[in-house]
Amino acid sequence: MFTNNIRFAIRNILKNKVNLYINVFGFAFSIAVFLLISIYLIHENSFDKYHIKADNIYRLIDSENNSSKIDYRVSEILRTNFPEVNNSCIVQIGSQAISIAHENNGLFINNIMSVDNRFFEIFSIPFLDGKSVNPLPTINSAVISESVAKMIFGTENPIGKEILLRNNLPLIVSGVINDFPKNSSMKADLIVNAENDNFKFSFTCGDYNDKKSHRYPVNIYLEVNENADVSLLMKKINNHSNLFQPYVKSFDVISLEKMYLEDTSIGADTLKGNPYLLNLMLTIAIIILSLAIINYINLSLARQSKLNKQSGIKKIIGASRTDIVLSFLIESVLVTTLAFFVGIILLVIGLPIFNDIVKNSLNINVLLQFPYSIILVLFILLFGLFSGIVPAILISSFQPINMLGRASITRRKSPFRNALTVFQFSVSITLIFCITVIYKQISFVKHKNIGFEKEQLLRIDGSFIENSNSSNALLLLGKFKQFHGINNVSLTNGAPGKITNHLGFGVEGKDQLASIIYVDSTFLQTFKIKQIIGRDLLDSDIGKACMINKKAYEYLGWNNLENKRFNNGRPSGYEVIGVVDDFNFASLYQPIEPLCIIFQSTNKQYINVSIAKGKLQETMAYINTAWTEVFPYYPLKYQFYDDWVDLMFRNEEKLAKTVGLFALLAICISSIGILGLAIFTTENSKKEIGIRKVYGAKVKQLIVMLNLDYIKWVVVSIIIAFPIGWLVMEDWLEDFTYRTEISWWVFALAGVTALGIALFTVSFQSYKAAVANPVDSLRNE
Amino acid sequence: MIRTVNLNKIFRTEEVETTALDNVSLEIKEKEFVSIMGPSGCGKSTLMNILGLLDNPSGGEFHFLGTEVAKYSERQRAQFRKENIGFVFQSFNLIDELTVFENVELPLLYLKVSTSERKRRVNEVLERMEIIHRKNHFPQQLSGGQQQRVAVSRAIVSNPKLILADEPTGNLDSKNGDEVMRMLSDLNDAGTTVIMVTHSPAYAEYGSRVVHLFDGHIVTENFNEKFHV
Repeated sequence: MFTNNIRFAIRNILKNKVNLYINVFGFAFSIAVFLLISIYLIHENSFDKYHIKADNIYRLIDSENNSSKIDYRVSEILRTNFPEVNNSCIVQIGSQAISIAHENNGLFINNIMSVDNRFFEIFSIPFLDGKSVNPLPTINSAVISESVAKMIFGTENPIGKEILLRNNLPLIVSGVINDFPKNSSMKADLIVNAENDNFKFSFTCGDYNDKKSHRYPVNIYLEVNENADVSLLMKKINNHSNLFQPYVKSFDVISLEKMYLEDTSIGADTLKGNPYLLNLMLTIAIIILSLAIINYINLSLARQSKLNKQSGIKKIIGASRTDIVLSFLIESVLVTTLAFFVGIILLVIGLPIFNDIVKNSLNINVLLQFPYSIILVLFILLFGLFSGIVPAILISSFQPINMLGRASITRRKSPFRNALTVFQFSVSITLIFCITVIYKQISFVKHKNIGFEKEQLLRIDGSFIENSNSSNALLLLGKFKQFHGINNVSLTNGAPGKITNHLGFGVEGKDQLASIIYVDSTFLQTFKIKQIIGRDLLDSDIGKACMINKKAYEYLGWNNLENKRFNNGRPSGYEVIGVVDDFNFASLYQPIEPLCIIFQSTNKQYINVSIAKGKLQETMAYINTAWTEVFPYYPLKYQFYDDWVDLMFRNEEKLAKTVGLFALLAICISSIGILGLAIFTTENSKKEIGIRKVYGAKVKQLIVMLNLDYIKWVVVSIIIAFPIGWLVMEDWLEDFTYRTEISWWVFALAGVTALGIALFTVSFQSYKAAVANPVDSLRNE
Repeated sequence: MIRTVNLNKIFRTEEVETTALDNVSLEIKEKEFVSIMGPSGCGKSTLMNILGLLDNPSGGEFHFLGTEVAKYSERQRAQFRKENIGFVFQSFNLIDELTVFENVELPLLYLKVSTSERKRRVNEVLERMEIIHRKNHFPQQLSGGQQQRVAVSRAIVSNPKLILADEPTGNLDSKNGDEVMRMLSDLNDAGTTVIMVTHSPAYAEYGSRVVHLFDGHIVTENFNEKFHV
C-alpha cells in the first residue's frame, strides 16, 4: 500500500508541472535560506565551546558597575580563599595594532594578549613548539601564533629568539601556538606576561605617589570545580566581601559558553556576537519557511476541485480518511525532499555570497556532522508533513458525495486562502519598509557633519616610533610637509576613533572623565576643527596649555576662560586657552562627551595627514615612498577617517544587506506563490469570464476585475504591515544617537512597490484569461 | 438485501429547505436488477447516494443486509461500502493519474489484499471485461466505452454484493451503451444485485423491476415480465 502510495504520489506530482516547479523552487529557496541561517547560527553558538573545560569556566563581573574590568589582585584572593575555585587567571587583550619585529622583519599585529601562566592551565591552547606548562617563564617571555611565527621567522625555529615590540621592548619567544580558531571570542597573535608592568594595559590612579593604591583592571576567569553550584559559590563569595574590598563590592559571573552572545557587561576584551542579528535572521528564516508552506497550502487549495475529484473517487471505492491524508502527506514529503536537493545546490551557490556579507567563512560541512545531520533529516520530514497536513485535513474532510460534484472553488469565497495571501503580502511590505528605513538611517549618519573634515584625511599608525622628536620621525615629517599634495600634518597621541586616555575632571560632587588627545600645534588646522572661544595657540603654550570641547565647557559651567585650568585638583595641569566646537571623536552611536585637547611635543602615536583635493593618488604614492625610505622594515598602516565612519556602520550595512537579501528572497517566494495562485484562480474563473464576455464585458474590464482581487488584498496587507514595520523600525532607531525620520515617502515606496510586484505578477494571467475565447471555456464546462 | 421505510432526505441551506426524498419505502432482494427512472431533480441520485452509503438519510429506516445503517458514521459507512458495494458512474470517475490496471487495483489496495492476489484478480477481471490489452494505458488514452469498461471492472473487482450504476450509459454512444448494459446484465446473471439509474426506457428494461420517482416519491413500480425473481 505504502509503495503504491509513493508511486501514485510521484505520478501526481509529475502530472502538474507548474505546480511542481512553483512548489519545488519555493521550498528550495526557503530551505537554502534556512540552512544558510542554520549554519550561521551553529557557528555563532559554537563560540568558545572548544575549550575542554568550557563547562566550568566563568568570567567575573563587578555586579555593581556591570563591568568585567576588575583589579588583577582579585584573581588570587578568590583562588586562595574559596576551594570551589580550582583555578583563576587574568587576561587583557590590547585594542590597538602594535608592531613587532625580528631583525629586519617587522609587522603589525592586531591582537596582543597579556596573561598569567594559569591562563594556559584553564584554556585549551595547543602548543606547536615550546612548553605548554608555565610557557611564560620570565616577564619578557612571549608566545606567538603559528601564522606570526611563519611571517617573522619563516622556516627558522623561533624558540629562544628575540622579537622587538614597539621598537623598544625586547621579548624572548618561549612558545608557538596554533592560531586561535574562528569560533574563539579571544584572539591573539602574541601572548605576553601580565607580570610585566609594560603589559598592564590600563590602570587608574589612586594616590599619585602610592602605587599600591593604583588599580589595574583586567578580565578575570575562574575555573570552578565541576561539582560546585556556581550560584551558591557566588553567594558565598559575596558574603565574604571583606576579602576583596576595596576592589569590588559584589560579584557576578558569566559562563564562557554564553559569553559571546549573552554578555552585556562593559569592559570585556573578548569579541561579542550580535544576538540582534541572530534573532532577526532566525525570524526571517521562519518567515521564509512559512511563506513556502503557505504557497504549498494555497496552491493545493487552488487545485482543490481537481484534488477533490481524486480523493472523492478514492473515498467512494473504500479509502478511509487516513488513507487520503496519508497520500497528501507522502506527496508533500516527496516535494520537500526534492526541494531539499535543489536547495542544497542553491546553498552551495549562495554560501560564498553570504560569507562575503557577514565577513565569515562558513562551511556547509557542519550540516553533515552529528547531531545536525539527524536534525536535518527530521526537519525535512517535518517540513513536508507540516506543508501537507493543512490541505490533507481540509480536503479529506469533505463528504465523498460533495467531492465529485462541481464544487470547484470560486474566485471570491475562500477566506482561509485570502488570509494566507494577505500574510504573504504583509511580510513582503514589512520587509520592504524595514529595508528602506535601514538604508535611510545609514545614509543619514554617513552624511552627517561630524564636526571635522573627514574627507582625504589620513591616520598613519606610528606606534613603534619611539619619540616624536626622534630623527626618523622628524625626517618623515619634513618629507610630508614639503610635498605639495599634503595640506597639513599633525602628530597626535589618541585620535578620533582611537582614544585610550581619560582623565578625571569636573565640578564638585560629580565624578566625570574627559577623553584626552595629546596633539601638536597643527591639530586644529589639519582636522579643520572650529575654535569658538579663546585665544590663538602660542609656541610657548606647548606642554602647558589645552583646549576643551563645548560639551566640557558646558559641563564645567564656565562663562569665560579667565584663569581656568584643566587639572582635576592636582597641582600640575593645563591652562585652558580655548574651546572648540563639538566634533565626533568616538562612536556615532554615542552622544559627544567632554574632551580635552592637550598641546604637547613628544610621545605621539599617530601621524594625521590632510591631503589636497584632486591629489590623492600621487600623494599616497609619495607617502608610500617616503615611508619606505624612513622605515623600511615596517609596513605602512593607515586608515582614512571617512572609512572609519563607514566602518562604524559596518554592522548596520551587514544588517541591511542581510535583510535586503532575504527580503528579496521572501518577495520572490511570495510572488511565485501569487503567480501560481493567479494561474489556478483564472483557470477556475474561466466559466465566469466566459459568461461575462458573452454578456458584453470588455477585456479591459475583465483584467481590472481579476486584478482588483489582488489590489484589494495588497491594500489590506498595507494596513497590517505599516504599523508593524513602523513599530519595529522605531524600536531599532532607538539605539541611535543620530537618527533619521521615517518619512511619508518610505510608506509610499513600500506600498507602491508591493502593488507593483503584485500587479506585475498577476496581470499576464489576467490578460490571458480575459482574451480567451468564451466559447471554449463554456463548452468545457 | 435492502429495505427502506419512510426514507427522507431534506437539504437545508440558510434560507431554503428542499425535500429530495419523501417517505420512500423500497425493498430490493438479492440478485435483483432494479432500474430507477424519473425526471431530473426527482431524487434519483439522492436515493442512489443513500443506498450506496455515500450519504445519510434525514429520517426513516435503511436496512442493508439486515443491518440498520441509516445512522452510520462516515467511518462505518466507508467500511461497509468497500466490503459490499461497487459503483459505476456516468462520467466514469477514473483517476487520470493512474493506469487502467492501477485504477482497477485501487479497491483491493484499500481492502488490503496481497500483491499477488491483487494482480491475479485485476488481470482476471480485465480479461473478463476484454480490456486487458489496455491495462497500462491511462484513462485519457481510452475511448468512452473503454473507460466505462474499466469503471465496471473496478466496481466488480472486489466481488461486491451490490453494484450501483448511476446513468452508466449517459456519456456513451448506443453501441458502447449496449455493451455496458450487457456487462451489467451478465453480472446480475452471475448473482450480483444491480441498482441502476437511467433516463433510457430501453435500458431500464434490462432490470427485473423499474421504479419511477417523481418529486421524491415512488410513483410506480413495474415488474418486468421477462424476470421471475
